[in-house]
Amino acid sequence: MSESPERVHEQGLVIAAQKGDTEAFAALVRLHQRRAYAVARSIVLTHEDAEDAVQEGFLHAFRALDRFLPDQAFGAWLHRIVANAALDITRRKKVRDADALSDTIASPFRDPGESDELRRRLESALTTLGERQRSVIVLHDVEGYKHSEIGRMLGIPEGTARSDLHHARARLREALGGIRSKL
Amino acid sequence: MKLIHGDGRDWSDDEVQEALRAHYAPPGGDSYWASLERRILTRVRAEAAREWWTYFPGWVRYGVAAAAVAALVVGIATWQTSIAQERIAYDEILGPGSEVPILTESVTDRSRSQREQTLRYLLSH
Repeated sequence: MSESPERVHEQGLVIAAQKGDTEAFAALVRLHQRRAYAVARSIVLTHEDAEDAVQEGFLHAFRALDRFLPDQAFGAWLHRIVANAALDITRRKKVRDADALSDTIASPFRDPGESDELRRRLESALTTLGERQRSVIVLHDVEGYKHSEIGRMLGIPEGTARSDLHHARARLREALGGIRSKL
Repeated sequence: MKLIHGDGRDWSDDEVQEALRAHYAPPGGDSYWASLERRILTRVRAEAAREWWTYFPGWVRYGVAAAAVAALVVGIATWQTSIAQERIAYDEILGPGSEVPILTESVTDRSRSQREQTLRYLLSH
């Protein structure tokens, strides 16, 4: 089976970066930073933490680059690293400040342009989800990852990801309960 | 245990999904991504320029340097000890009077025994 030109291009960049070409690594950053941000944002609570996780993730990836086999998917490998960096940040924050949850959830990076009521109820509902459930539903419904990919990324079985998604949906469905139709 | 089939969606999940997408929408402008890329690469380039010893925290660095000096001192001491031991071993084998050739001594012994034999002959006759 022949590989796509994008994949071949990416492999070339990875090999060059492994030989110490930082410009090639810069090209890999350009290719993957948006997706990496989305992965991180689904796990951490704030935009700032997501940025930190993305930077940490790329740095870890750069350090571990010589251990990466170029015939594998660079994106999947990178996203696992970024997810781990995001989980580390979440754990550190949890230890440092257990009360910050409701405040940080309530300060998204960008006003999504929704009505205040819908946003308020969504934010409130998100605080009632467990950290893992929130990550799973965002990775699935917002970023379009499959259960198996989410499982690998978060280090949980596929069935657990499926179950978390189901429970998170039920919770958000209940919280938002037809509010759209009223607005 | 409740088994979950498919992705468990119903019609109202579309609005949940839409609300989530709006809430988690990534920053939009290209300038934002260019700035994030710059910050990532600044850290990566700094990492690439790091010397190997900087991976150790300060006190570990001093510890490693002290251990290296100690290892050097021990190495020199061991080397000198082995030279001294070698010299002593040679002395033990060759003896303290090793300056006198061994052959000369045996010649001396031989001439002494000849002298004794001559004396014994003269006394017996």
